[in-house]
Amino acid sequence: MRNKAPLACVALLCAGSAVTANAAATIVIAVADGPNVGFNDPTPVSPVGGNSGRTLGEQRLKVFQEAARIWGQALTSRVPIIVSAGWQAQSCTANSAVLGSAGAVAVFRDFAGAPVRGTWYPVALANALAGVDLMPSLNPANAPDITARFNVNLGKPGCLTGMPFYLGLDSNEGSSAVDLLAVLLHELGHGLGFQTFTNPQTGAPLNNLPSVWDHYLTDASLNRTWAQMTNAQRVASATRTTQLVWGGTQVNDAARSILTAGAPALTVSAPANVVGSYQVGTATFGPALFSPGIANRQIMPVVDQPNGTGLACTALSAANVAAVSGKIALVDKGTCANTVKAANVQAAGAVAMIVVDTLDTLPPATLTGTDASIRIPSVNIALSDGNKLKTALASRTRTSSNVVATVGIDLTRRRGMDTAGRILMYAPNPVQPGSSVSHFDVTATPNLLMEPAINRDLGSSVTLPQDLTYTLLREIGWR
Amino acid sequence: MLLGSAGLRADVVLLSENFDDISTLTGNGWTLSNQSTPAVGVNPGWFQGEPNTFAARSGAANSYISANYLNASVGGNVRNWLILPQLTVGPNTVLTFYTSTDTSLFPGDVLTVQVAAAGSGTYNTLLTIGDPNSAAYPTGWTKYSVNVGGAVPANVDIALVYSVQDTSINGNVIGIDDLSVVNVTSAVPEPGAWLTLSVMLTGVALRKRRQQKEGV
Amino acid sequence: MRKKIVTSVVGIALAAAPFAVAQSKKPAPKKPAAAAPAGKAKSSTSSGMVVVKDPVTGALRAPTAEEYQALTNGGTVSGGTSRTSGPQTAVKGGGAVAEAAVGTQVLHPDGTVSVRLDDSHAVFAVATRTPDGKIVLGEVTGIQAANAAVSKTGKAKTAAKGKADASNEK
Repeated sequence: MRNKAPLACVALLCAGSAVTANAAATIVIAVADGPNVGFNDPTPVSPVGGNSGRTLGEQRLKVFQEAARIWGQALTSRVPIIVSAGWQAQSCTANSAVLGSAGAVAVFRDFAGAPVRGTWYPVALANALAGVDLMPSLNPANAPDITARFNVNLGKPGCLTGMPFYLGLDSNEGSSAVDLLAVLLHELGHGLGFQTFTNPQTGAPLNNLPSVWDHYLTDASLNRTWAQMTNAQRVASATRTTQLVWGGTQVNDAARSILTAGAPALTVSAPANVVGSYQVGTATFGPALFSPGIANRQIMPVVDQPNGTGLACTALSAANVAAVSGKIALVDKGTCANTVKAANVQAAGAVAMIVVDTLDTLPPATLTGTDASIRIPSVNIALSDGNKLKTALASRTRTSSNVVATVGIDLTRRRGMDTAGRILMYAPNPVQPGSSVSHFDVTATPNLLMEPAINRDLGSSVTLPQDLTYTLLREIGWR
Repeated sequence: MLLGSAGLRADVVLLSENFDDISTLTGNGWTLSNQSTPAVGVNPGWFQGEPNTFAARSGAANSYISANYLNASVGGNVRNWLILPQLTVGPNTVLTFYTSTDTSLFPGDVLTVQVAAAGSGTYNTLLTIGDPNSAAYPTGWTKYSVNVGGAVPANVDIALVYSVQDTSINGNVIGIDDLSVVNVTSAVPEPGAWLTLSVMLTGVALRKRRQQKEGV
Repeated sequence: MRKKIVTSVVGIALAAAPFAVAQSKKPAPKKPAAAAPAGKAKSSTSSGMVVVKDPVTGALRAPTAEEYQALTNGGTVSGGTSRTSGPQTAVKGGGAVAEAAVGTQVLHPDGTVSVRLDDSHAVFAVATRTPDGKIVLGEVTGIQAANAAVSKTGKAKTAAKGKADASNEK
């Protein structure tokens, strides 16, 4: 069994190392940088946000140590978790950059203590479950369980210029820096097991066997887990927004205790072939959605283009006024600002506005803009959903339709969960490799660490009641 | 009604349709054909009645058949055909149905009853409802009857054609309910009845000729 | 063609610590200052080294100027490092053994099976500044996708747009 004692680590990596130990699990930060680089950068810096490091390198290391401390407190493992950490140049342009990466170095299956046979576990979890270090037989060297590489140039000219990492430990990064601690906690979460090793684009599992993740990732429309599907079913499932959920009770029970009740929705109650709750983007103008909302009103489209669409960019014609007055006006996105459309349908007497997006992106984007005179709520829906409604609306008259809907807050759902009380997993359409499937959905409120984008309002907790990441890792086998 | 004289007749119902479920029509020999121009992407064609528009005359609120101005693209012309199963009609075969529109605010809906020798495709218009030159389309369920027979028994195609000229400004919606085709025969023909019948048939023939000229 | 070269280079590029340099016994080309923290001296030893696998012979060697440029140029790949990089890889017989192990299923005597992963399974955090100045953080799996997300920022923007907007409503 390899020796993961701190002393060995220091000796091996001579450039320096950091060790964080605690009662639950030991996470070793094995520094992989050479002299004067990354963690060893001697540039003097001032203390920031609780980080007392006096050089750039020291401050970086303290952030990693803090992340190791937070994860180490949450997890339990008899085998130290070694994180090979380094700073290096990564892809950049002036306006975009790879911040960093992390991942498990290896996966194991069918080891002593494996909860599910024929299933891949990331090495750190496999070690914890086995109670011994499984790596020596693979690599006699003092190999890490997780590698983490961060962008040493972030914020410099040409590399997300002016937007460096914030090295404070207080999640107070402001608007011109990226909180390294949050990014690191998130990335380590992936390395510890918060991901599938199955390819969401091809549906192909790693070496034809499921990841432990796949036993919980569930498609509500098929009522199957990813482990129970064919490749083709997984590919389709990966983009089934609002249908891809976590099937484990631990996470779902916990999610019900922390996610906000009530989700914005367009709920169609008739006709039968379009009945359902549609995902919406909300608006930055007009009143906030409420419950029950603009309830059980007919939807009527604006038609002001030769092709039958309606942009509502000018005052509505008499015919369109007759159509939308007292109704929920359906308009098409584009040509003018959303606030202009809202003002026009409001002037025509509409009680709410639905904008049909030009994209099928789910969840639909927020309608942006500001206009204090808007008094009706507005929502954005995906193109395909809009087309579905338009098909149903084809049997309307000039003044009424059979499509009845409520624009408001759906209290039967929590924000980021489905009506059956399962947390939604991120399944945008089209698929986004890396983001899809291995994150919580972006609609989760309050924001969670393991959503695909690292939100600025995150604290530095991985446990309840702030966060569900540890709960999920517990569900897949961590203690 | 011209065909009164109850007690002396033995009516034979050739066809009776309440439009409870219009998806069964095609299977029963009906033809639904939207020939509007220009065609529209989402084509509602003939559709099941919408309770939010108005309720059916009888049965469930949606148990009528409906068509609207959206059969053609914006500014186009609607020609939406509802053709009954082929029937053998005699000299005294009467088509009866009820129809309605939603509101008088949007005129321009027209419904015609047209008859053609079976398979000929040459239709003669027997009745026009909502003729812009005469009465507006009824805004409540209103009964219409028309004799669709000729002098001698013959196989015919009977069509109800919904039309709108320029949907940008005209037309809205119509519904049709409780349609029947009945062969009215007299068990004991009376001279008076024959007389009435012949007058009616003459009227039909005259109207036929007039509408052929108009080319409706 | 250029992209292909870059890709193959990325897979085996070793940006190693001094320890690794000693192990691999490869010549250490001088890394351009741009890849190292600004104002650092001693770049020949402090900023690690880069070796490439010759596309013809398969042998590890120092990169040509062009290959190095491709590796370090912003927007494509700058000093890209793979999971196989770092001390542990160098320790393993100069890379050959480790290379063979990546992606290959290894059966252990006790019945345990393992697979060593490469960067195609690593999760990369990517940040993109949108035209309105907001910073959108998103993620991709695999270094190729990460590089693509950065060089084609449109993709990164699309990927994270829903999030950026969704966060507004919270």
